[in-house]
Amino acid sequence: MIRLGLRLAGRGGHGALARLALMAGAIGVGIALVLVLVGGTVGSLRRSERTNERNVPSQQGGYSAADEGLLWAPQELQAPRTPTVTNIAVAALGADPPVPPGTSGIPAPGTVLVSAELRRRIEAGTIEPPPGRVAGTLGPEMLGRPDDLVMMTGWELAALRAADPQAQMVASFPERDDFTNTGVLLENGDWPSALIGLPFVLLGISILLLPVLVLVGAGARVGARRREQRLAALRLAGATPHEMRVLTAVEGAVAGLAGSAVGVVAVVALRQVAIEQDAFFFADLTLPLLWVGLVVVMGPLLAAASAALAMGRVATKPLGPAREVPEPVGRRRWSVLAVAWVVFLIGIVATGNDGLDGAIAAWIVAIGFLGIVVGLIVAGPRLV
Amino acid sequence: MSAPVITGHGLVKHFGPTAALRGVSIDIQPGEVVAVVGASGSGKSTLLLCLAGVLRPDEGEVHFRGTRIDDASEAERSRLRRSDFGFVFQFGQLVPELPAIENIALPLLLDGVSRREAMTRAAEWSGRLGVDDVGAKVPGELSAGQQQRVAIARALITGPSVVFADEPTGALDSLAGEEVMLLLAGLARAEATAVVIVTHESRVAAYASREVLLRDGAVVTRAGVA
Repeated sequence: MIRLGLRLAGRGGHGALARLALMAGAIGVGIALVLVLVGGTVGSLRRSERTNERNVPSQQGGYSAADEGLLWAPQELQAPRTPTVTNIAVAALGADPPVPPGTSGIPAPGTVLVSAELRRRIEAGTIEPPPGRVAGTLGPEMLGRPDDLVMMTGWELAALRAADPQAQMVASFPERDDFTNTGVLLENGDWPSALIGLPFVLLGISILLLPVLVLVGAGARVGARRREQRLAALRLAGATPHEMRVLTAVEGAVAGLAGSAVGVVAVVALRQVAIEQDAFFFADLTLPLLWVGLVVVMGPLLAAASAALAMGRVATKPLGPAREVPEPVGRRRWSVLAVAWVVFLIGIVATGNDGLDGAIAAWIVAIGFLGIVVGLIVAGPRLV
Repeated sequence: MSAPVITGHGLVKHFGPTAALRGVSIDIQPGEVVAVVGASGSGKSTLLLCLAGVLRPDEGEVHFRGTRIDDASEAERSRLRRSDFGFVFQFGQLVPELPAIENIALPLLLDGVSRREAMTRAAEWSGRLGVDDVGAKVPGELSAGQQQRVAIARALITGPSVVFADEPTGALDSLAGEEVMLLLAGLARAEATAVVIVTHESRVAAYASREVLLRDGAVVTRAGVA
């Protein structure tokens, strides 16, 4: 049955090809939107986690002469007509100070570690060389983005205490996974712990996916008459409703697979643009394999489910679309439920989430709108 | 007389307020060719579709080889259409995307017969119907007569008990119509397959061994044809 479905999907002529291309394009746009939004959010969060930790380390505080740690004093250097450079003055406190991420050791007094972009600009003469000898390069763990201008200068303890009384002691740096700038698209890993904005990402995705649904619906309508004739002919030849669902699901899955491929190619291309613009490190835009897999698999699955559920009249009537029957009551019940659900969501938004924890309300709204989008994907072909 | 292969008893069917069938009863014997004739709107096609399990009658019963089928599930009636019934309609019965040879093989493919065997049997039937030279063409590339031959081959490839033909020559010129009816009636007799032909053309009805005349959804006469 699957083989027959594949043959039917591949032999539909210009109309079927146009429908396939439109649906695949729309699904591809949807998948790209989801991956770009989620990937961009995750990348931004990873980036800001590092810069926040750099500017205000979480393990910093007051100190005494008996402490072991690293005196840490970040500051922004702004010279006329030059970009801002972040300078982190550090001095060892005790015999065994913690080593900052992105370095192989604490810079000795009078030496400087610089970011790659800062080194490039110094060598190009567009930025004044820092005081002290450049002894090495800061790794990406200390940078927000590849073009960050950051340097870490080593100080004598007494000199730094005198120069910056506000300097804090960093007792330790948080444990992080190795920052491997491997350039691969995917890796096994977890979401950043600070992904508290996920409900709003889902909400954004839901809203952005609505126009995509219009495209999917438009695609489904291309060549609809010929398609209905084919489905009716199959039914007349003895295909059961279940077999019809399998056949059309295969056709939908083909469009979904093509859409997933389009989406992934688009995401890889956009990712490359973002990296070439030095906006992100490769690793920042690396998503967990499981999640990307889920999103990519969702394309064919939703398209197959949508096609199978959209069989409509012709699925049960071998005479084709010419002999319509009244709309069944069941669909009206679903319509009422859908409207009630939308009213409920609007109610939550309109009442300012009274009586609900903000995070819970955000999740309800986000999941609710995502549910509406999924519902529209499933019901879309019936509506157009 | 042997037991009828298919019977309809007291069939009533409404489309909205319009009564298409008003208590029609009919028996079809194995291997006989029955023409259901009548004016346009007399209920001929509705009767055929009720007997074939495509439409469910509002009242009455349809039995196939003694088993009631009008209350069978959609899947059961689909399987009947696949294995025990064949269909030849005026148009729209072929899958437009598939070449003629695969259209002929379609019921076998749906039935899980291996592709190799299905195509072999389809090739045999396309030869019997004289369309073996157009097997690779899709229906849109075939003449109306060739399409009907392909449809007949598809209807007979499973060795059905009954072939339902609804105006099978309606889209053909008289010569092509004659050829199609000769093939349909001849092959059905050779295969001992009963044929129910709905037509308003007397020359088509002449191929039947019996005529059933419908008027306003009711049987007027049942007549044997000499």
